[in-house]
Amino acid sequence: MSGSGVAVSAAVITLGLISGLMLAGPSLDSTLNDLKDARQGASDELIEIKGTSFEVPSVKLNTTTNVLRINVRNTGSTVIGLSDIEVLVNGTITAFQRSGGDFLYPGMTSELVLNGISGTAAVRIVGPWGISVQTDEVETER
Amino acid sequence: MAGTAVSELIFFITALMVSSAVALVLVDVIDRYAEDIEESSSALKGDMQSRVTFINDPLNVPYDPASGNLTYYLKNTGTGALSMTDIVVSANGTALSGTSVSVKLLSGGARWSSGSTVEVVFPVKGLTTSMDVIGWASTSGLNSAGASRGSAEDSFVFRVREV
Repeated sequence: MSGSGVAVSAAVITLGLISGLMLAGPSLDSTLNDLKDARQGASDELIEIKGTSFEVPSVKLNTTTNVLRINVRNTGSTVIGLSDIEVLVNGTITAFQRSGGDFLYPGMTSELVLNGISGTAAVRIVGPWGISVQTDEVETER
Repeated sequence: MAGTAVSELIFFITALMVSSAVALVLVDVIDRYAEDIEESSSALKGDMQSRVTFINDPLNVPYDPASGNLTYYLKNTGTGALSMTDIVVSANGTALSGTSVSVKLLSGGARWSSGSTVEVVFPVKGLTTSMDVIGWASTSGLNSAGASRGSAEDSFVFRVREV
């Protein structure tokens, strides 16, 4: 009886262990999926960031009309959405108009037009992922 | 003999009860451990997807000396949405959050999604254009249901430009 008691006790404990592991299965599956998604997302993000770059070939301010024209060229390999761009003039985000479509394809140049600008000291263009280009070389024209 | 059989039966039943209790505890502990792992991984996923970046010109951060209002521009550079209500900002040792901070999503809409920028205005006294100020901002990430998941923060050194 004592021998069978030990055997039954061991069997009950083992059953409990197996039941616990079976209950934990779905949670562990969910965990692995989350980690897989996060790793894949981080990897995709790094590739996109690496392929994103742009330059500002020229910034011209017409001191008569107070219109600032900024040329932005996509020098990377990814497409830049122009709605993802912010322009800061003297540290303040300023609305701009653009010609052409909503996207700046690799190699393409777009002109951003800002009205009501005077006394420009610094222009900062911020693109996707917070990548930014800053210039204080503003050509003035009348 | 009958006494021996009864005491063995009692030992058997006792052993069964103890092992059942151990088994139940094992099930409970493993289940809780699995839940904790699941929560931790969800939080880690949120942290990896949540990122916020200052996009201010570090040499020209707008500051109104009359009202003391300092303006930060924070861009969601992660892949998930961020919370606009959980934003905490700091400058020169002053940290503010909640109703003390004015937050406006520049693109309109109600959700601070990936790629969008918010303007955060909050009062900080005594900043001057010659001071090097340490700025910091943090907020929570949001999952698709709008619940908090993960966090994001950024910091930078800047000077103000009086507006």
